[in-house]
Amino acid sequence: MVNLTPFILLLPLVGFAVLGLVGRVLPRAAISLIGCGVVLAAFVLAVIDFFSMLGVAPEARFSDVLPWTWVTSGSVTIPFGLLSDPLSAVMLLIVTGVGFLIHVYSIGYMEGDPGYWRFFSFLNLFIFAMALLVAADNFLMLLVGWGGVGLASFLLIGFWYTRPSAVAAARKAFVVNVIGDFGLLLAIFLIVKDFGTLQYIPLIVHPASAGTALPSLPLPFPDATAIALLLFVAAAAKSAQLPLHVWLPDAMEGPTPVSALIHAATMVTAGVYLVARASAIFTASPTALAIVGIIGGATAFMAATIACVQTDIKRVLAYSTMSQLGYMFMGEAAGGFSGGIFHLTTHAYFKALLFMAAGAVIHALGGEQDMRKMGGLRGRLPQTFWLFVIGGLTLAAVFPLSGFWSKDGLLSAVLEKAQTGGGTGWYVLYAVGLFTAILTGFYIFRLIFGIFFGRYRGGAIAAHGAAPAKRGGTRDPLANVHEVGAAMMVPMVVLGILSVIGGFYGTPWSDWIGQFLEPVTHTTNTGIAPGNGLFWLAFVLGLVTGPIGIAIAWARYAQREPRFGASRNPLVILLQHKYYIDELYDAVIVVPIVSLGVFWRIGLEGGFFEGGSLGLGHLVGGISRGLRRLQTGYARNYALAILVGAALLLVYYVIHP
Amino acid sequence: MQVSAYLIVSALLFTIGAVGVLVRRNPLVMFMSIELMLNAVNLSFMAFAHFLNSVDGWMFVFLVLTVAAAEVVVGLAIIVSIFRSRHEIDVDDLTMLKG
Amino acid sequence: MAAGVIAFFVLATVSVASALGVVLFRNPVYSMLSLILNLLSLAFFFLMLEAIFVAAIQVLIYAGAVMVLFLFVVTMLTPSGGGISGPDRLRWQWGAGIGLGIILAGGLIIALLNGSIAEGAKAAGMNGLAQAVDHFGNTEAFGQALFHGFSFPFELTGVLLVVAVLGAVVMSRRFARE
Repeated sequence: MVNLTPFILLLPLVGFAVLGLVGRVLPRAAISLIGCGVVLAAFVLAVIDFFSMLGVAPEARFSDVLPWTWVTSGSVTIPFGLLSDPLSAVMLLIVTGVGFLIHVYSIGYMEGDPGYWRFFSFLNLFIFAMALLVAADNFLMLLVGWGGVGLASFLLIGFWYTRPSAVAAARKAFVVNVIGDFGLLLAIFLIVKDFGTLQYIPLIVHPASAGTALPSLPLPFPDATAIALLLFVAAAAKSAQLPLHVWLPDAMEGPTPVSALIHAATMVTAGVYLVARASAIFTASPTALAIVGIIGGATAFMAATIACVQTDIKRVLAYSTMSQLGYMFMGEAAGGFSGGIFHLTTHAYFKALLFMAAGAVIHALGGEQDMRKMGGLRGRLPQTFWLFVIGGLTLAAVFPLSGFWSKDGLLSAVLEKAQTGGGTGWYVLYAVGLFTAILTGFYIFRLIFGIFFGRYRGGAIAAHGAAPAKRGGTRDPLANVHEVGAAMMVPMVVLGILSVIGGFYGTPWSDWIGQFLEPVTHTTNTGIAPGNGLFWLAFVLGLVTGPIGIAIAWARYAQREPRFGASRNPLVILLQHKYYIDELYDAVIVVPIVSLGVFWRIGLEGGFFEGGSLGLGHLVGGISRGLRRLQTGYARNYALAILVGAALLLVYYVIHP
Repeated sequence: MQVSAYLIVSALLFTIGAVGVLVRRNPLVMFMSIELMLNAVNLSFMAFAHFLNSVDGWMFVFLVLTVAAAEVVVGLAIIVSIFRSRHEIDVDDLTMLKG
Repeated sequence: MAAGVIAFFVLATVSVASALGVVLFRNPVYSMLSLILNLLSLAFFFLMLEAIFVAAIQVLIYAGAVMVLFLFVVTMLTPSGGGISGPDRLRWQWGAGIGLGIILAGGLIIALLNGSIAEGAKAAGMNGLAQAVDHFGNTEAFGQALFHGFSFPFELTGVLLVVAVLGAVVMSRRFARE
């Protein structure tokens, strides 16, 4: 099999360099061509890699390219190596494939932005960093990609750097991500201490013993829980899990394609990928897995509840992403690592689709993001409406769309774990997952009904974009609303198709993706087998939960004119304030640190250091000011000074001959 | 005559010259006072040369004389150019170099 | 010796009085003339000290050439009223100067009268001025000393005078833009 991974990495890097260095002077068409072209080429290479991998036996699907040795420190040698294996192949397909569609969408969305070249340059950097992250063959290179993704997200979230809110959001994302980087770094130290190597092969991936126990990893090995939990800190920061989720909703300040990229193809999937990649380490520590499961379940539930009351359409989708990531971690905690990756792929399709559709709505309304000022757009934006509905149905896990199969696999893995001796806690997690599924259906169709149904609630939309303003006495406030162009519509259609059919390679009857990933993920739990007594119960529960939520939303928001006004219900207020977590962090972390900083600045530095140094300066200055008065400029005064000196010398000489 | 007698006269002349530099505002008179001081020192040199039976004192007087001549030439040139630009030669007006 | 003593006191009185005149005359021209008188009295002192050549150049160069130049400049720059108009901004310098002058003169005289300076000086010396004067004559003795023992400083005075002349020329030049 071939390994083209170095070129997959190189192409976006070249695109980034070219656009970043000379993009300012290139014409718009050239920027689009370079920005999208390199990613498309990378995607083609990833497809070639993938199919050549399919052509060989499962044990042979590992190809480690080691161009050169990177670090040699004592007994630890770290090569600059790129690993091509089933997991990284799937991830590269998602990153470059969905990434390419988002690039194409950006051509339309960012049209007319003065930072066009900068935007594509950053997008290419993002793709490069993410590809490096998933293609690394050791933990240190993973860290490089990890940090690169953080940097690229910082640049893109703060893309409109003249907005203070965008800059604050970018900074917040970066700070939270650095907490995660720190966890990853500590985990790397512990791994070196325990094993003396950072290579995936033979540390955690064993091509020859696919699916069997891990011979070189003593179970339980020392520090297993510590390493796993530190890795999870990193994963939680990137994938916006409690309590490090606070950056994700704010990251909506970036342009909508960035939201799609961060939420679907890159960035947030890094945490899920890391847990799947390090499945051997997590499997070694049941404690760590239990914590991952609890946090995943809690995040899924909390984010879904918050999403039920948000009115900013992008924020609803942001919390939805958090919730879906919570599902993935929950499933991975139950041992369904391949299930987590499967849901990651389907989520990439439908969440990218939803963000693009939301972007199309925002685009059509000239930048309006507040659901309270929308409504009744179904007739104006029919294509967007239907694509939004497809994305919503997939998110709500309606049979037989892709989201149904992947989410069902995760919940089924949790139930299997509970049944095979995981303890009652896993039953609770399963129940939480089911309830969250109802919430999911509710909030996404609340969004759809709010945008497309009922009466239009906003003001008149001014003419914008390419379409000419309609004149002639029309009093329709939506006269200038129009569908987006082909550059934005085609990627959405492609993603819509993928959302519909993308689940059939992972059904309970033929879990093709699970088997494909098996040599890497060592999945211990593939969900309840079709022969099990509980199988049909679980299947039916998965079948009805989403539609129940949709039905509730239908009753509340489509049957009568929806009201999104202020509520006195304390629960709603709690949710609208996102459980006051931002406020809690402000009070517990930000305010004490800022006060400490103010104290150092004013008390210690201002009072002591500056007081001392400035006082010395003032002392010298004061003395100098006094001495300067002697410098009168009168030559006769100077002569007098000389004579005074002479007289003093003489007097001294007379007194002491 | 004792050498001290000459030296006392020299001391008196020197002191008068020094006070003259301090109290007069006219740079020309200040220069004259400086000449006084130089000549007072010359007198001491001559007295010492005579009473110590050494020719070195004469030499120093000769050198002082030369230096005084040079000093007068340069100093007067400076005063003339100041006068040319300001039409006033009060040294108390020349206070631009103060701190 | 009595004639010498009388001459000394007369010369001393004249020189001190003329020196005071230099400082105290309001009109710089009078100060100038007073200074010439002072220099002449010093020349007589030199004669009394048997330095005929030095006395001669004192009269020729100092009281003659230098003072003529001086007088020329003084008459050129002094306004018709004489002296400088306007109030004295540093009137207190008079008190300070006179006070310091008294201290200086008093200190010097005390130091001279207790004899330490003269005694110290007497211990050095004795390299035969009298013999040289007897042997060569006064002017020749001066020349011998100047061109043998002091030839290098003598050369340097030549350089000094050239530099002074050049400086004077540069400074008194009228520049084109003036």
